[in-house]
Amino acid sequence: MNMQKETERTQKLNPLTILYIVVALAVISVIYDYKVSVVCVIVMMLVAAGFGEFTSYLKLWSRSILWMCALCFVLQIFFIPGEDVIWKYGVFQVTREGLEQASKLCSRLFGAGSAAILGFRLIDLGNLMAVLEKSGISPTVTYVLMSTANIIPQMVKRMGAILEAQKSRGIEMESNMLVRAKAFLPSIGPLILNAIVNAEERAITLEARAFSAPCRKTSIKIIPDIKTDKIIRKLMIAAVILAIGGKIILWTAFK
Amino acid sequence: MNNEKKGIRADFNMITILTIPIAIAINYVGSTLAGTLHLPIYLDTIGTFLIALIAGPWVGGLTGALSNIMVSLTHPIAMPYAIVSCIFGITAGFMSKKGMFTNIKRFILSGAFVVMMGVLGTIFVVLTFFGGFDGSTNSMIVAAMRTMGVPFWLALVIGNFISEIPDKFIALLVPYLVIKGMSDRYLYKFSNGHIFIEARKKAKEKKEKKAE
Repeated sequence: MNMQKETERTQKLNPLTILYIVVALAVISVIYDYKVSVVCVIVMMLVAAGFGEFTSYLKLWSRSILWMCALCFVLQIFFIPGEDVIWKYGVFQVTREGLEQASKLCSRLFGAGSAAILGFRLIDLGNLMAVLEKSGISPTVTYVLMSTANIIPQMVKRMGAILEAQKSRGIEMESNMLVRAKAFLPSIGPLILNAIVNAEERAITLEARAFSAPCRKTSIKIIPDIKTDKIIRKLMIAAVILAIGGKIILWTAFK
Repeated sequence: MNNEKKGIRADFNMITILTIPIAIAINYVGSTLAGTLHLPIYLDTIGTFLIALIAGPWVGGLTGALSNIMVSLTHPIAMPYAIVSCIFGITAGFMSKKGMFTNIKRFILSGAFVVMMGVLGTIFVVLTFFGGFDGSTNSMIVAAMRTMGVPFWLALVIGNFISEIPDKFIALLVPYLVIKGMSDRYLYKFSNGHIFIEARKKAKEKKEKKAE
């Protein structure tokens, strides 16, 4: 079932195309003000909906980006120094400079952050790496990225095991701060040494499978790149160029 | 894996490339563990420092930047801090190349330098990308100081020093101890490894002389 869903999704669009869409939306929302950012985020929601990921995206988005932007905005409007006071309550004061800067910075964070999360939700890293490798990026680079994505959950799991083991040996983990801090080293130490020793074994395995052999390698993954993909990618490049051009024109006109 | 070779290319040998993902994972696990134990510090640069110490500044810088990029997929505020992580990797790597992590006295000195670079980098990032407040515990400290009437710049510097000093010293201490526990055979595979091995030999000779 899951496999089927996966292939359906990949058949829809090439991962590189999705990356182009995400980057284009991020760039456009970063170079313009908050109104454009909001429009871009709405477009991102629509894109997520198009992939059948709307609810999961919205959940992740509201939990991270929305919350972070709200917190940043509040802190920035109250505490960025300025002269022109608009509103005052006790020690808290909102200045015009603070408000202007906060809306500028938060709209950037809002646009770029939402785009990053959209990319994370929609792009299958394995497929993207396969496409990138095909287009000439060194397999070493793709290996590092893929391997990182695989190792993190493994290490988190092993961390859980080590914590359990240390707890059963009597290391205190739920006392005052000094005691908890003392528990840090015996927990992370074995994890690091273990992981490093594993790296050596992995090196031998990879060498045995001709990782550093200087020849063209075949890939087990074939990712379709249809006409629609190419058209969308060209459109995205054009949109970014137009957006940057428009910004420059606006900028010179205002000057 | 020839240690006589020098330069960036020699730094990125097979074992180093395989250790980069592990270092990034250590960064991630370190910060998760700090969260699990409810410690008030980040501890998300342990892996960066470890690899910077044994494999040099360029590998360290790359690992730091990559690590933040990975985290920013789910936590986008971390993205601009890739610059700071990169600075950490490069600084620690250069210090290590000069043999500044071979004994505890030098360790404290280089730790202080790394903290200073970190504070400068963080202030630059937090000002350019977040206007001084990114919503972290650190910005709460700065905000609290602002309400008490401390000037903006001073609050920013003090706030960052408060959070960076314990964080970076512990994050450096872990790799320092781990390297002490590594065998020569393993250390030798990394481009900075010979520095630690030579320091070990010297320390041993000194001890023997004293015993005589």
